[in-house]
Amino acid sequence: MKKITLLALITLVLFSCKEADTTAPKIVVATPQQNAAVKAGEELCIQVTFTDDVALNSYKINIHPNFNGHAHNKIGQTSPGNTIDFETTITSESRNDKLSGKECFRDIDIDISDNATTGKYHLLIYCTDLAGNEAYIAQDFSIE
Amino acid sequence: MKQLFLTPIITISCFFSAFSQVDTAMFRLDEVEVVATKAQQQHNAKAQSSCILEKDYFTAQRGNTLAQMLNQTPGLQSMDIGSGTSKPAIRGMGFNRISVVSQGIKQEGQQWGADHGLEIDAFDIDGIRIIKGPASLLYGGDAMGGVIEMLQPTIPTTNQVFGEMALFTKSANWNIGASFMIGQKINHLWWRLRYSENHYADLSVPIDTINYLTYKIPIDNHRLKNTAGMERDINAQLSYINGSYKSDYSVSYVFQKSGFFPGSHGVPDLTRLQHDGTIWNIELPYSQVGHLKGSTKQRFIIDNQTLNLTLGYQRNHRSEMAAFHTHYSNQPAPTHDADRELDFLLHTTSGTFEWHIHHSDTLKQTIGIDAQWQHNTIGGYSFLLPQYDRTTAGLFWLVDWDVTSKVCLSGGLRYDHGFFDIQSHYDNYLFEYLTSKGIDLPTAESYSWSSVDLRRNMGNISGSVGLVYTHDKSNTIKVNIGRCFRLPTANELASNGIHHGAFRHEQGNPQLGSEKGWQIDFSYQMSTKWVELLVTPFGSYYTNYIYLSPSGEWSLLPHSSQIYRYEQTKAVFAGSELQIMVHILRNNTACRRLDYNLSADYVFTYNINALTATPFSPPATIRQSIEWEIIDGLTLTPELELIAPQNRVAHNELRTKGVTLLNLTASYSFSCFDSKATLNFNYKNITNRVYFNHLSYYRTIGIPEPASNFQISLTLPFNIKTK
Repeated sequence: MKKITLLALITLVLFSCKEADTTAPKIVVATPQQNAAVKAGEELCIQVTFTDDVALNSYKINIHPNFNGHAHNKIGQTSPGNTIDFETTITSESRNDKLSGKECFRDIDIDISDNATTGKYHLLIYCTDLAGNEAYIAQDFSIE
Repeated sequence: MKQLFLTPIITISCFFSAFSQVDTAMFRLDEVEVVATKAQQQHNAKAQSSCILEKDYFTAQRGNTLAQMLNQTPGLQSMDIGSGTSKPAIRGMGFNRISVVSQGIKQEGQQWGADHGLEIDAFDIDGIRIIKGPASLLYGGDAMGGVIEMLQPTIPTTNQVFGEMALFTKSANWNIGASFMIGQKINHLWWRLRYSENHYADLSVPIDTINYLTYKIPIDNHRLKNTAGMERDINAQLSYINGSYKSDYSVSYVFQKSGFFPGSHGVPDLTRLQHDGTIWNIELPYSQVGHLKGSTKQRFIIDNQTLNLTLGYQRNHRSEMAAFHTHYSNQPAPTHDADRELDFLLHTTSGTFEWHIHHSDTLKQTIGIDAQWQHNTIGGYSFLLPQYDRTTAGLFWLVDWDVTSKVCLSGGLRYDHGFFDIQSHYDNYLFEYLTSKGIDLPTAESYSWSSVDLRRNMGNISGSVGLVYTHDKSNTIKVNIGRCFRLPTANELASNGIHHGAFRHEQGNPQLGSEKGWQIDFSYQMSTKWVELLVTPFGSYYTNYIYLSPSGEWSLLPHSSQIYRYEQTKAVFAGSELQIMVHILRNNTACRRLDYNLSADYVFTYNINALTATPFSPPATIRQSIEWEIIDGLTLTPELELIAPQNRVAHNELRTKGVTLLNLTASYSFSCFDSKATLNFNYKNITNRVYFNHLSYYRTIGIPEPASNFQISLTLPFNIKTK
């Protein structure tokens, strides 16, 4: 009987444990669409909706060149014609724009510099919730 | 969720119902003839939950990796990297938390890495002892979660020449393997030589598209590009026995080369994922590893004392090859060996001395010392693990005391001391990249130290006390309480940067102490003419469990999300394994033998700080099979495998749905040159279910397990008596 009580107690303790949120947030990008094109000197319009089942926290957006099939062996080099390989990162913290609640929409315009090297680029969008779960998406676009 | 609650309750109720059955049934049982090998007799006396898997177990499953073979045993899991390489886990603990002992010494490779397999020839197995739970007392740190010990071969008493030819093929990745062994026992000498070779093509998967990060990745011909691989192993053993002196020598070399699916390394690029016309080639990225191992064991018996000295040396050389890539404009491609991304060369020298004193038939003591020295050097254009030296030394005392014919006590104490000397590594290319982005100098500096200079000393006490109560021939109860520890690894202490497999910024913590924990485990074994039962519940509590905690702080490194930092927490592991075998028919007119087998396991893991499960917690599994020996030697075994969903996950780990699988094994044994030859046919996933292995490396990018597939193996031994 003692054994039964002990094991029942252990079972009770184990299953009364509090569980943290382990569901990752979701990122849905309205624009740009996959393989979109933007002209150097114009703006890349990013419209994105973040959702989470509990509470959102923060986001990070990064753009970097993907000239050589993601081999990344040219990044940052100044290309002929005095153009610059375009790379930028913005975060909730850098824009003083923390996420909160279960759903947030953001409309962010990123200025593509006049002298950006044309070619294929990656757009990466990351998002975290308050518990530390994260999501990320990657998209291709090009600068013309 | 319901299933999650139900499984332990079912297990526990099985446990109690088993007890209640025993009360009424155990006194009216017929006498049973117990045939046990020497290894089994030894293991029965140990209080800790353990089991012995005989050579036949592995012969029946030829074609799988060692970890995949062990996966059939409740409480053990296989962490797969594709279909050709994998490493084992015990009760939800893997990597450096378990030890694999082969040729008498602890196997030392780069087992901390999720995409690294185990470098052991799966053909070269004479039997395995598995200790579930902490075994720090016997094997030092790292054996915190358990031990997989490859047993030494039994040396025949008569002179003979023996050998074995084994072949297999597997349809999931068109794996073809062969192994040849020859040996001789001549008077005081025994030797054995084995050569094995194994080639596999790209893995076949039951899907044609992977949805990963907004990309639809096409899988041409259902073949996962560049997951082909090969393995080539050689093993030589020599023993000399003369009365009370025995010496063993062994040398082995395992070489593995396996490709990585290019889509699993970063943001997928569809141009690199197009079919290249062949399923057998291994292109970049791939990994290769060569593991050289040499060991000797000397045994002297002097009256009632036995002295054992084991010395070993291992050289593990792992290279991760990937086309040169960098995020930093000022980093030039290396002029030599430009595609070597990472290179680890680990030398391990170890020695153990044991002094066994047999005071009487009922009292034995062992005193021993154990030492290991490791030197890890690194290379390649990328960085993951620092260069380091690690020295550990331990002193232990064990005792076995048969108090009465029914009660046996065992226990011991051990003190270990570990010393780390980790070298710093500075990434100047990263520093220049960060400062060019306008990052302030102190921050850029802190990111650019990919590892820090670190010297650490750590002392640990481990021990255990256990009791075996043999009520009668049919009923045995074991209880064991153990204290265990594990030294942190070099990457947990000092690394700082992107982990190229996980694609996240992982930051070591120089302040980490040893992982420490307590475990209590029970075992109840019942063996009657008709029913055999083994139930092994356990519970562990760790005070310093090391885990990667998401910080919520964005990393400044290119291609990385938040920073993950190694932290320590209190953690709980609890669960049970259950095995039931019912002998339904024996020598009936309809068949030679009909047995029903049920095995189940469940482990509940809980990180008290993060309030989640620990990573890589295996789902509950129940296996049921009917073993039907139709005529002498011909056995048919249909199996139903129920894998529960795993919804209890750590942060940023995917949940995995459950599945019910139907498998079939047909086995035919026949006599061949005075030995037992075996032909096996395994048909797996007959109903062609699309499912995921929660512990698979490719799980994170949504690659399922193989569709219905078969494997065939043939083992032809021979044995010729000589004068």
